[in-house]
Amino acid sequence: MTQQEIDQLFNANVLEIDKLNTASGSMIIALIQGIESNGPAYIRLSGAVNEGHRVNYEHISGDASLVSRVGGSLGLIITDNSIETRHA
Amino acid sequence: MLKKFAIFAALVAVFTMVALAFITARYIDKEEILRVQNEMSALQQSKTEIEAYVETLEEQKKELNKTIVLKTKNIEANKVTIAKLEKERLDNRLKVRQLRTEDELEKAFAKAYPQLVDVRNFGITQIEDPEAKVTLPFYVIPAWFAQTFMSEHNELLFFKKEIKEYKANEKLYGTIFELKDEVFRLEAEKSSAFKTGYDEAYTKYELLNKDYIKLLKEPPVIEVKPPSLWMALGGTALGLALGIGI
Repeated sequence: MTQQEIDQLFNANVLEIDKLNTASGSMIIALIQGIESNGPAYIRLSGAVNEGHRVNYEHISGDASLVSRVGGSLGLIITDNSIETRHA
Repeated sequence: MLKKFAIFAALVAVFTMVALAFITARYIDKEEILRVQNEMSALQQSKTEIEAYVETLEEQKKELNKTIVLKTKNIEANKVTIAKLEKERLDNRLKVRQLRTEDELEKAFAKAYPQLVDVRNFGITQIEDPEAKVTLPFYVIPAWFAQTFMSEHNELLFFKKEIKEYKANEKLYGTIFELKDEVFRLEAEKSSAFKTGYDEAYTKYELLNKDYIKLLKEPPVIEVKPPSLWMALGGTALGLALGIGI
């Protein structure tokens, strides 16, 4: 991925994260920063709902296992296509 | 010649009698009476319709007043809720300050941010400051989670500004309502003045109409009396003198 593509992907992901509950959004940010710094690996987020705690994702490039490893370290609930934060 | 004069005199007498009968008879204009009666009837009908319409408006006004009372009660209830929330907010802020142990702090923090509960390495850790030779507790959270505090801090600032504007608007609404009440009061006074004027005019017209109908039904009698004896004798003498002269 070029730097421009990476930046565009990040900005698109931020728009999805911005819909989520503030604390949950921060945890998802921690995830995408974590897989980038440990990989790099990239995912595309989608389907976030306002004040929600769950977002869908699609693996774009890099080591796909990083999503579940970093997610696990952050206490996130990771499936093949979704990420959810603990919220209660 | 004398016969002709007698016939002529008789004819003059008859015409005079007919004329007198016509003049002295009471003339009754039935068409005018009917017109005036119809006019009064139409006015009565119009008054009845206006009164019915006013009654409908009064009913609507009563219903609207009920709604106003209800909504005013709702506003008062909301004010009580707001005051209660404000007290709860201050109580909660104090409760946070009253946390005494690290364990209490961890539990309260986890309750506020359950997203962090399952994070590995999350929690309070003791970090030594070799320079100061002290050990202090620090919270370990994912660095990017700091965005939460930044966002919430900024939102709080904006919420405060919004609340200030809402309060200013509430005052303005209050002023507008007072002005509207004043406009309504003036409108009511105007309506009352019109009603008084209309009722007065209607009553006066009704009386006038009755008098007019009475006058039409019983017009004043024009009496034509025969001249007095002296006047008749004087006139005859004058006539004779003139006749002889001619």
